[in-house]
Amino acid sequence: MSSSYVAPLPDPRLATDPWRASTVAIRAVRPEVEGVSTYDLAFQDEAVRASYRFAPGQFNMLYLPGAGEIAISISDDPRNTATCAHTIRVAGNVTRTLAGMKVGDTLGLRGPFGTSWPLAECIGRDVVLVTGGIGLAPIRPAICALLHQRRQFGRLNLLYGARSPDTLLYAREYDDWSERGLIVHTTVDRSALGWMGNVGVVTLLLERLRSFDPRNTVLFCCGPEVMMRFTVLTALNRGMSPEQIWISMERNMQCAVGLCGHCQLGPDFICKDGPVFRYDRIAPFLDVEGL
Amino acid sequence: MDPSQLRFILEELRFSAMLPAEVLDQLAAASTIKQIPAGTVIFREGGTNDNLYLIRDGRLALEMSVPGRGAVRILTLGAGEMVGWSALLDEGKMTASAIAVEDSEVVVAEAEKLRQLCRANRDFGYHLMEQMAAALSKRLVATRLQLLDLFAASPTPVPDRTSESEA
Repeated sequence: MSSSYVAPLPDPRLATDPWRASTVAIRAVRPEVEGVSTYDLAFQDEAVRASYRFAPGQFNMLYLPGAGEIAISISDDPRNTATCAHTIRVAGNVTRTLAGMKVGDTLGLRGPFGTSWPLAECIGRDVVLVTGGIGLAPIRPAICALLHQRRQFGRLNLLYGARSPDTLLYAREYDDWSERGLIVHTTVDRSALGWMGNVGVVTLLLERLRSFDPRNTVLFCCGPEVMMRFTVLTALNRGMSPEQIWISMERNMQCAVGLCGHCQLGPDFICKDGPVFRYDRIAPFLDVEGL
Repeated sequence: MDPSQLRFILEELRFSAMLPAEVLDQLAAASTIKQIPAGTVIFREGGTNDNLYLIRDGRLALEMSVPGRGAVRILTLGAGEMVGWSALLDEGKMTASAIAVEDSEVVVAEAEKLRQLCRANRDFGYHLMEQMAAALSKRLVATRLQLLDLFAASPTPVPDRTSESEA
Protein backbone atom coordinates (compact mmCIF):
# COMPACT_ATOMS: atom_id res chain seq x y z
CA MET A 1 0.00 0.00 0.00
CA SER A 2 1.16 3.48 -0.78
CA SER A 3 2.30 5.21 2.37
CA SER A 4 0.54 8.36 1.27
CA TYR A 5 -2.78 6.79 2.26
CA VAL A 6 -1.55 5.80 5.68
CA ALA A 7 0.18 8.98 6.72
CA PRO A 8 -0.03 12.35 5.02
CA LEU A 9 3.02 13.86 3.42
CA PRO A 10 3.45 17.00 5.47
CA ASP A 11 3.64 20.31 3.75
CA PRO A 12 6.74 21.94 5.26
CA ARG A 13 5.04 25.30 5.36
CA LEU A 14 2.11 23.89 7.30
CA ALA A 15 4.51 22.26 9.71
CA THR A 16 5.96 25.61 10.63
CA ASP A 17 2.85 27.73 10.32
CA PRO A 18 -0.46 25.89 10.70
CA TRP A 19 -2.25 29.25 10.83
CA ARG A 20 -1.37 30.20 7.30
CA ALA A 21 -4.29 29.84 4.90
CA SER A 22 -3.76 29.17 1.20
CA THR A 23 -6.08 30.68 -1.36
CA VAL A 24 -8.31 28.20 -3.15
CA ALA A 25 -10.82 28.82 -5.92
CA ILE A 26 -14.12 27.00 -6.33
CA ARG A 27 -13.60 24.94 -9.48
CA ALA A 28 -16.98 23.17 -9.43
CA VAL A 29 -20.09 22.84 -7.28
CA ARG A 30 -22.09 19.61 -7.41
CA PRO A 31 -25.46 19.53 -5.67
CA GLU A 32 -25.71 16.16 -3.91
CA VAL A 33 -28.95 16.10 -1.94
CA GLU A 34 -31.12 18.90 -0.60
CA GLY A 35 -28.94 21.32 1.38
CA VAL A 36 -25.74 19.43 0.60
CA SER A 37 -23.23 20.19 -2.16
CA THR A 38 -19.71 19.12 -3.02
CA TYR A 39 -17.21 21.87 -3.70
CA ASP A 40 -14.09 21.14 -5.74
CA LEU A 41 -11.43 23.55 -4.49
CA ALA A 42 -8.22 24.30 -6.43
CA PHE A 43 -5.11 25.87 -4.92
CA GLN A 44 -4.16 29.10 -6.64
CA ASP A 45 -0.47 28.69 -5.79
CA GLU A 46 0.99 25.97 -8.01
CA ALA A 47 3.68 25.07 -5.45
CA VAL A 48 1.06 24.55 -2.74
CA ARG A 49 -1.06 22.46 -5.09
CA ALA A 50 1.92 20.29 -6.00
CA SER A 51 2.87 19.61 -2.38
CA TYR A 52 -0.61 19.21 -0.88
CA ARG A 53 -1.48 15.68 0.25
CA PHE A 54 -4.04 14.35 2.67
CA ALA A 55 -4.92 11.00 4.20
CA PRO A 56 -8.51 9.65 4.26
CA GLY A 57 -10.30 10.88 7.37
CA GLN A 58 -8.46 14.21 7.70
CA PHE A 59 -10.09 17.63 7.54
CA ASN A 60 -9.34 21.14 6.35
CA MET A 61 -10.22 24.52 7.85
CA LEU A 62 -12.09 26.63 5.31
CA TYR A 63 -11.93 30.37 5.87
CA LEU A 64 -14.46 32.76 4.39
CA PRO A 65 -13.53 36.38 5.12
CA GLY A 66 -16.35 38.15 6.89
CA ALA A 67 -18.14 34.91 7.73
CA GLY A 68 -15.67 32.81 9.69
CA GLU A 69 -13.76 29.57 9.58
CA ILE A 70 -15.06 26.03 9.74
CA ALA A 71 -13.65 22.51 9.93
CA ILE A 72 -14.75 20.37 6.98
CA SER A 73 -13.80 16.76 6.27
CA ILE A 74 -12.11 16.09 2.99
CA SER A 75 -14.28 13.88 0.81
CA ASP A 76 -12.03 13.46 -2.22
CA ASP A 77 -10.01 10.61 -3.64
CA PRO A 78 -6.58 11.06 -2.01
CA ARG A 79 -4.94 10.48 -5.40
CA ASN A 80 -6.64 13.51 -6.87
CA THR A 81 -4.12 16.32 -6.83
CA ALA A 82 -5.86 18.77 -9.16
CA THR A 83 -8.65 19.75 -6.79
CA CYS A 84 -9.82 18.86 -3.32
CA ALA A 85 -13.49 18.04 -2.78
CA HIS A 86 -15.46 18.92 0.34
CA THR A 87 -19.07 17.82 0.75
CA ILE A 88 -20.83 20.40 2.86
CA ARG A 89 -24.28 20.71 4.40
CA VAL A 90 -25.68 24.17 4.99
CA ALA A 91 -25.80 24.40 8.77
CA GLY A 92 -24.76 27.90 9.85
CA ASN A 93 -23.25 31.22 8.87
CA VAL A 94 -20.11 29.99 7.16
CA THR A 95 -21.74 27.19 5.20
CA ARG A 96 -24.64 29.47 4.26
CA THR A 97 -22.17 32.02 2.93
CA LEU A 98 -20.34 29.29 1.05
CA ALA A 99 -23.61 28.11 -0.47
CA GLY A 100 -24.02 31.58 -1.94
CA MET A 101 -20.64 31.50 -3.66
CA LYS A 102 -20.09 30.49 -7.26
CA VAL A 103 -17.46 28.86 -9.43
CA GLY A 104 -14.36 31.05 -9.56
CA ASP A 105 -14.88 32.62 -6.12
CA THR A 106 -12.01 32.22 -3.69
CA LEU A 107 -11.65 31.35 -0.02
CA GLY A 108 -8.89 30.36 2.40
CA LEU A 109 -7.86 26.82 3.30
CA ARG A 110 -5.65 25.53 6.13
CA GLY A 111 -4.80 21.88 6.38
CA PRO A 112 -4.90 18.98 6.26
CA PHE A 113 -5.31 18.33 9.96
CA GLY A 114 -6.00 15.40 12.23
CA THR A 115 -5.63 11.66 12.22
CA SER A 116 -6.72 9.35 9.41
CA TRP A 117 -8.43 5.99 8.94
CA PRO A 118 -5.93 3.19 9.66
CA LEU A 119 -5.80 1.69 6.18
CA ALA A 120 -2.53 -0.11 6.83
CA GLU A 121 -4.27 -2.15 9.53
CA CYS A 122 -6.83 -3.31 6.98
CA ILE A 123 -4.37 -5.12 4.74
CA GLY A 124 -5.34 -8.78 4.53
CA ARG A 125 -8.50 -8.22 6.55
CA ASP A 126 -12.18 -7.60 5.90
CA VAL A 127 -13.36 -4.01 6.28
CA VAL A 128 -16.82 -2.87 7.29
CA LEU A 129 -17.65 0.81 6.86
CA VAL A 130 -20.71 1.90 8.84
CA THR A 131 -21.97 5.39 8.24
CA GLY A 132 -25.05 7.54 8.18
CA GLY A 133 -26.22 10.78 6.64
CA ILE A 134 -23.43 13.17 5.71
CA GLY A 135 -21.05 10.88 7.63
CA LEU A 136 -20.39 9.18 4.30
CA ALA A 137 -18.34 12.22 3.22
CA PRO A 138 -15.33 11.51 5.51
CA ILE A 139 -15.56 7.81 4.60
CA ARG A 140 -15.48 8.40 0.83
CA PRO A 141 -11.67 8.97 0.66
CA ALA A 142 -11.20 5.66 2.50
CA ILE A 143 -13.47 3.94 -0.03
CA CYS A 144 -11.38 5.38 -2.88
CA ALA A 145 -8.14 4.24 -1.25
CA LEU A 146 -9.46 0.74 -0.46
CA LEU A 147 -10.78 0.25 -3.98
CA HIS A 148 -7.60 1.60 -5.54
CA GLN A 149 -5.68 -1.26 -3.93
CA ARG A 150 -8.60 -3.67 -3.76
CA ARG A 151 -6.56 -6.88 -3.84
CA GLN A 152 -4.83 -6.04 -0.58
CA PHE A 153 -8.05 -6.37 1.41
CA GLY A 154 -10.63 -9.04 2.13
CA ARG A 155 -14.37 -8.44 1.91
CA LEU A 156 -15.33 -4.77 1.80
CA ASN A 157 -18.82 -3.85 3.01
CA LEU A 158 -20.36 -0.39 3.17
CA LEU A 159 -23.40 -0.12 5.44
CA TYR A 160 -25.00 3.25 4.85
CA GLY A 161 -28.13 4.73 6.40
CA ALA A 162 -29.91 7.87 5.32
CA ARG A 163 -33.03 9.66 6.41
CA SER A 164 -34.94 8.91 3.19
CA PRO A 165 -34.21 7.58 -0.30
CA ASP A 166 -33.74 11.09 -1.70
CA THR A 167 -31.01 11.88 0.85
CA LEU A 168 -28.68 9.01 0.00
CA LEU A 169 -25.34 10.72 -0.58
CA TYR A 170 -23.18 9.89 -3.65
CA ALA A 171 -25.88 7.53 -4.96
CA ARG A 172 -24.52 7.91 -8.50
CA GLU A 173 -21.27 6.24 -7.38
CA TYR A 174 -22.68 3.05 -5.82
CA ASP A 175 -22.68 1.05 -9.07
CA ASP A 176 -19.04 1.91 -9.71
CA TRP A 177 -18.06 1.04 -6.13
CA SER A 178 -19.93 -2.26 -6.42
CA GLU A 179 -18.24 -3.16 -9.70
CA ARG A 180 -14.87 -2.51 -8.11
CA GLY A 181 -15.50 -4.80 -5.15
CA LEU A 182 -17.33 -2.87 -2.45
CA ILE A 183 -20.59 -4.47 -1.32
CA VAL A 184 -22.95 -1.54 -0.81
CA HIS A 185 -25.87 -1.96 1.60
CA THR A 186 -28.21 0.97 2.07
CA THR A 187 -31.16 1.60 4.32
CA VAL A 188 -33.42 4.54 5.08
CA ASP A 189 -35.20 5.59 8.25
CA ARG A 190 -38.24 6.75 6.31
CA SER A 191 -39.46 4.98 3.22
CA ALA A 192 -40.96 6.63 0.16
CA LEU A 193 -43.29 5.54 -2.58
CA GLY A 194 -41.47 3.20 -4.94
CA TRP A 195 -38.52 2.54 -2.62
CA MET A 196 -37.77 -1.19 -2.72
CA GLY A 197 -34.65 -1.07 -0.57
CA ASN A 198 -34.21 -1.56 3.16
CA VAL A 199 -36.10 0.41 5.79
CA GLY A 200 -34.72 0.66 9.32
CA VAL A 201 -31.67 1.97 11.12
CA VAL A 202 -28.19 1.25 9.85
CA THR A 203 -27.25 -0.85 12.90
CA LEU A 204 -29.70 -3.49 11.65
CA LEU A 205 -27.55 -3.90 8.54
CA LEU A 206 -24.61 -4.76 10.77
CA GLU A 207 -26.78 -7.26 12.69
CA ARG A 208 -27.70 -8.97 9.42
CA LEU A 209 -24.32 -8.88 7.71
CA ARG A 210 -23.52 -12.35 6.43
CA SER A 211 -20.03 -13.76 5.82
CA PHE A 212 -18.84 -11.75 8.80
CA ASP A 213 -15.66 -12.85 10.53
CA PRO A 214 -15.38 -10.74 13.68
CA ARG A 215 -11.79 -11.78 14.36
CA ASN A 216 -10.55 -10.65 10.98
CA THR A 217 -12.50 -7.45 10.44
CA VAL A 218 -11.71 -3.77 10.89
CA LEU A 219 -14.70 -1.47 11.30
CA PHE A 220 -14.75 2.26 10.49
CA CYS A 221 -17.72 4.26 11.71
CA CYS A 222 -18.75 7.85 11.07
CA GLY A 223 -22.07 9.51 11.77
CA PRO A 224 -24.11 10.98 14.60
CA GLU A 225 -22.66 9.99 17.96
CA VAL A 226 -25.75 8.03 19.02
CA MET A 227 -25.58 6.03 15.80
CA MET A 228 -21.90 5.29 16.39
CA ARG A 229 -22.56 4.20 19.98
CA PHE A 230 -25.14 1.63 18.90
CA THR A 231 -23.01 0.53 15.95
CA VAL A 232 -20.16 -0.19 18.34
CA LEU A 233 -22.52 -2.11 20.67
CA THR A 234 -23.68 -4.23 17.75
CA ALA A 235 -20.11 -4.84 16.59
CA LEU A 236 -19.05 -5.89 20.09
CA ASN A 237 -22.10 -8.18 20.36
CA ARG A 238 -21.06 -9.80 17.10
CA GLY A 239 -17.67 -10.63 18.54
CA MET A 240 -15.42 -7.76 17.51
CA SER A 241 -13.00 -6.29 20.03
CA PRO A 242 -12.72 -2.54 20.77
CA GLU A 243 -9.25 -2.52 19.20
CA GLN A 244 -10.77 -3.37 15.79
CA ILE A 245 -13.19 -0.44 15.79
CA TRP A 246 -12.37 3.10 14.66
CA ILE A 247 -14.71 6.06 14.87
CA SER A 248 -14.56 9.62 13.58
CA MET A 249 -15.58 12.18 16.17
CA GLU A 250 -17.08 15.60 15.62
CA ARG A 251 -16.73 18.54 17.97
CA ASN A 252 -16.44 22.31 17.71
CA MET A 253 -13.02 22.53 16.10
CA GLN A 254 -11.69 26.07 15.83
CA CYS A 255 -7.89 26.20 15.85
CA ALA A 256 -7.26 22.70 14.41
CA VAL A 257 -3.95 22.35 16.27
CA GLY A 258 -5.00 21.59 19.85
CA LEU A 259 -4.43 25.04 21.30
CA CYS A 260 -7.84 26.65 21.79
CA GLY A 261 -9.39 23.75 23.70
CA HIS A 262 -12.85 24.03 22.14
CA CYS A 263 -12.81 20.43 20.93
CA GLN A 264 -11.34 18.84 24.04
CA LEU A 265 -12.81 15.46 24.93
CA GLY A 266 -11.25 14.00 28.06
CA PRO A 267 -7.50 14.21 27.65
CA ASP A 268 -7.73 14.50 23.87
CA PHE A 269 -8.32 17.26 21.38
CA ILE A 270 -10.51 16.06 18.53
CA CYS A 271 -8.69 18.31 16.04
CA LYS A 272 -5.19 17.12 16.90
CA ASP A 273 -5.57 13.64 18.42
CA GLY A 274 -8.58 12.83 16.23
CA PRO A 275 -10.96 13.06 14.50
CA VAL A 276 -10.32 9.34 13.89
CA PHE A 277 -9.84 7.41 17.13
CA ARG A 278 -9.54 3.78 17.97
CA TYR A 279 -12.66 3.03 19.98
CA ASP A 280 -10.95 1.82 23.15
CA ARG A 281 -9.13 5.16 23.45
CA ILE A 282 -12.24 7.33 23.25
CA ALA A 283 -14.82 4.98 24.81
CA PRO A 284 -14.52 6.22 28.42
CA PHE A 285 -15.52 9.72 27.34
CA LEU A 286 -18.35 8.93 24.94
CA ASP A 287 -21.02 8.36 27.56
CA VAL A 288 -20.06 11.24 29.83
CA GLU A 289 -22.83 13.81 29.86
CA GLY A 290 -21.65 17.28 28.96
CA LEU A 291 -18.39 16.24 27.31
CA MET B 1 -39.13 -31.44 4.80
CA ASP B 2 -38.39 -33.74 7.74
CA PRO B 3 -37.72 -32.35 11.24
CA SER B 4 -34.00 -33.14 11.12
CA GLN B 5 -33.55 -30.95 8.06
CA LEU B 6 -35.64 -28.23 9.67
CA ARG B 7 -33.57 -28.48 12.83
CA PHE B 8 -30.45 -27.91 10.77
CA ILE B 9 -32.03 -24.82 9.22
CA LEU B 10 -33.07 -23.49 12.63
CA GLU B 11 -29.52 -23.95 13.92
CA GLU B 12 -28.36 -21.54 11.23
CA LEU B 13 -30.90 -18.81 11.89
CA ARG B 14 -29.95 -15.93 14.17
CA PHE B 15 -33.26 -16.10 16.05
CA SER B 16 -32.97 -19.77 16.95
CA ALA B 17 -29.24 -20.52 16.77
CA MET B 18 -28.74 -20.17 20.53
CA LEU B 19 -31.62 -22.45 21.53
CA PRO B 20 -30.70 -25.69 23.38
CA ALA B 21 -30.77 -28.87 21.33
CA GLU B 22 -34.01 -30.25 22.80
CA VAL B 23 -35.80 -26.94 22.25
CA LEU B 24 -34.59 -26.88 18.65
CA ASP B 25 -35.93 -30.41 18.17
CA GLN B 26 -39.35 -29.42 19.50
CA LEU B 27 -39.43 -26.22 17.45
CA ALA B 28 -38.46 -28.13 14.32
CA ALA B 29 -41.23 -30.67 14.95
CA ALA B 30 -43.77 -27.85 15.13
CA SER B 31 -42.54 -26.08 11.98
CA THR B 32 -42.65 -26.32 8.22
CA ILE B 33 -40.80 -24.45 5.50
CA LYS B 34 -42.53 -22.31 2.93
CA GLN B 35 -41.62 -20.39 -0.21
CA ILE B 36 -43.21 -16.96 -0.50
CA PRO B 37 -43.16 -15.20 -3.88
CA ALA B 38 -42.37 -11.48 -3.99
CA GLY B 39 -45.46 -9.34 -3.49
CA THR B 40 -47.31 -11.87 -1.34
CA VAL B 41 -49.16 -10.40 1.62
CA ILE B 42 -48.44 -12.74 4.52
CA PHE B 43 -50.80 -11.10 6.98
CA ARG B 44 -52.65 -7.80 7.21
CA GLU B 45 -52.71 -5.14 9.90
CA GLY B 46 -55.80 -5.60 12.06
CA GLY B 47 -56.35 -9.10 10.76
CA THR B 48 -55.50 -12.37 12.44
CA ASN B 49 -52.53 -14.59 11.84
CA ASP B 50 -51.89 -18.03 13.28
CA ASN B 51 -48.18 -18.38 12.57
CA LEU B 52 -44.78 -17.25 13.69
CA TYR B 53 -42.36 -16.81 10.77
CA LEU B 54 -38.58 -17.02 10.80
CA ILE B 55 -36.99 -15.72 7.61
CA ARG B 56 -34.46 -18.11 6.12
CA ASP B 57 -33.87 -16.23 2.89
CA GLY B 58 -35.21 -13.11 1.20
CA ARG B 59 -36.73 -10.00 2.64
CA LEU B 60 -40.09 -9.10 4.17
CA ALA B 61 -41.48 -5.64 4.88
CA LEU B 62 -43.77 -4.45 7.65
CA GLU B 63 -46.25 -1.75 6.71
CA MET B 64 -48.85 0.26 8.61
CA SER B 65 -51.80 2.09 7.13
CA VAL B 66 -51.94 5.82 7.71
CA PRO B 67 -55.01 7.76 6.56
CA GLY B 68 -54.04 10.01 3.70
CA ARG B 69 -50.67 8.33 3.24
CA GLY B 70 -51.67 4.78 2.48
CA ALA B 71 -49.42 1.89 3.48
CA VAL B 72 -46.24 3.22 5.07
CA ARG B 73 -43.30 0.85 5.05
CA ILE B 74 -41.74 1.02 8.51
CA LEU B 75 -39.23 -1.81 8.54
CA THR B 76 -37.71 -4.46 6.34
CA LEU B 77 -36.54 -7.75 7.80
CA GLY B 78 -34.03 -10.24 6.50
CA ALA B 79 -32.59 -13.69 7.07
CA GLY B 80 -32.62 -14.88 10.67
CA GLU B 81 -35.29 -12.46 11.80
CA MET B 82 -38.73 -13.13 13.21
CA VAL B 83 -42.07 -11.90 11.92
CA GLY B 84 -45.55 -12.33 13.36
CA TRP B 85 -44.82 -12.29 17.08
CA SER B 86 -48.35 -11.04 17.80
CA ALA B 87 -49.62 -14.50 16.88
CA LEU B 88 -47.87 -15.87 19.91
CA LEU B 89 -48.35 -13.04 22.38
CA ASP B 90 -51.53 -11.30 21.36
CA GLU B 91 -53.87 -13.98 20.07
CA GLY B 92 -53.01 -13.27 16.49
CA LYS B 93 -54.32 -9.71 16.14
CA MET B 94 -51.68 -8.20 13.88
CA THR B 95 -50.26 -4.71 14.45
CA ALA B 96 -48.79 -4.34 10.96
CA SER B 97 -49.01 -5.94 7.54
CA ALA B 98 -46.21 -8.18 6.29
CA ILE B 99 -45.34 -8.35 2.60
CA ALA B 100 -42.61 -10.26 0.79
CA VAL B 101 -40.36 -7.67 -0.89
CA GLU B 102 -38.54 -10.39 -2.78
CA ASP B 103 -38.92 -14.15 -3.21
CA SER B 104 -38.41 -15.47 0.29
CA GLU B 105 -38.16 -18.68 2.21
CA VAL B 106 -39.52 -18.84 5.74
CA VAL B 107 -39.81 -21.33 8.57
CA VAL B 108 -43.45 -21.34 9.67
CA ALA B 109 -44.41 -22.40 13.19
CA GLU B 110 -48.07 -22.69 14.14
CA ALA B 111 -48.64 -20.33 17.08
CA GLU B 112 -51.16 -22.57 18.82
CA LYS B 113 -48.71 -25.49 18.74
CA LEU B 114 -46.02 -23.25 20.23
CA ARG B 115 -48.38 -22.06 22.96
CA GLN B 116 -49.21 -25.67 23.83
CA LEU B 117 -45.50 -26.51 23.97
CA CYS B 118 -44.86 -23.49 26.20
CA ARG B 119 -47.59 -24.57 28.61
CA ALA B 120 -46.52 -28.21 28.64
CA ASN B 121 -42.81 -27.60 28.91
CA ARG B 122 -41.73 -24.51 30.86
CA ASP B 123 -38.13 -24.95 29.74
CA PHE B 124 -39.22 -24.74 26.12
CA GLY B 125 -41.36 -21.73 26.95
CA TYR B 126 -38.56 -19.96 28.79
CA HIS B 127 -36.02 -20.40 26.00
CA LEU B 128 -38.45 -19.45 23.23
CA MET B 129 -39.65 -16.36 25.08
CA GLU B 130 -36.06 -15.39 25.91
CA GLN B 131 -35.24 -15.33 22.20
CA MET B 132 -38.47 -13.50 21.49
CA ALA B 133 -37.68 -10.86 24.14
CA ALA B 134 -34.15 -10.40 22.79
CA ALA B 135 -35.45 -9.95 19.25
CA LEU B 136 -38.15 -7.52 20.33
CA SER B 137 -35.66 -5.61 22.47
CA LYS B 138 -33.40 -5.09 19.45
CA ARG B 139 -36.38 -4.00 17.40
CA LEU B 140 -37.41 -1.54 20.13
CA VAL B 141 -33.92 0.01 20.24
CA ALA B 142 -33.90 0.26 16.45
CA THR B 143 -37.30 1.96 16.52
CA ARG B 144 -36.03 4.44 19.12
CA LEU B 145 -33.10 5.29 16.86
CA GLN B 146 -35.52 5.78 13.97
CA LEU B 147 -37.59 8.11 16.15
CA LEU B 148 -34.53 10.21 16.97
CA ASP B 149 -34.35 11.16 13.29
CA LEU B 150 -30.56 11.37 13.58
CA PHE B 151 -29.91 12.26 9.95
CA ALA B 152 -32.32 15.17 9.78
CA ALA B 153 -30.79 18.47 8.77
CA SER B 154 -31.02 21.18 11.39
CA PRO B 155 -34.60 22.50 11.02
CA THR B 156 -33.49 26.12 11.38
CA PRO B 157 -30.09 27.56 10.46
CA VAL B 158 -27.89 27.89 13.52
CA PRO B 159 -26.47 31.35 14.13
CA ASP B 160 -23.03 30.49 15.47
CA ARG B 161 -20.15 28.26 14.54
CA THR B 162 -20.63 25.96 17.49
CA SER B 163 -22.99 23.60 15.81
CA GLU B 164 -21.52 24.06 12.39
CA SER B 165 -18.43 21.93 12.60
CA GLU B 166 -18.78 19.13 10.07
CA ALA B 167 -15.37 17.55 10.10
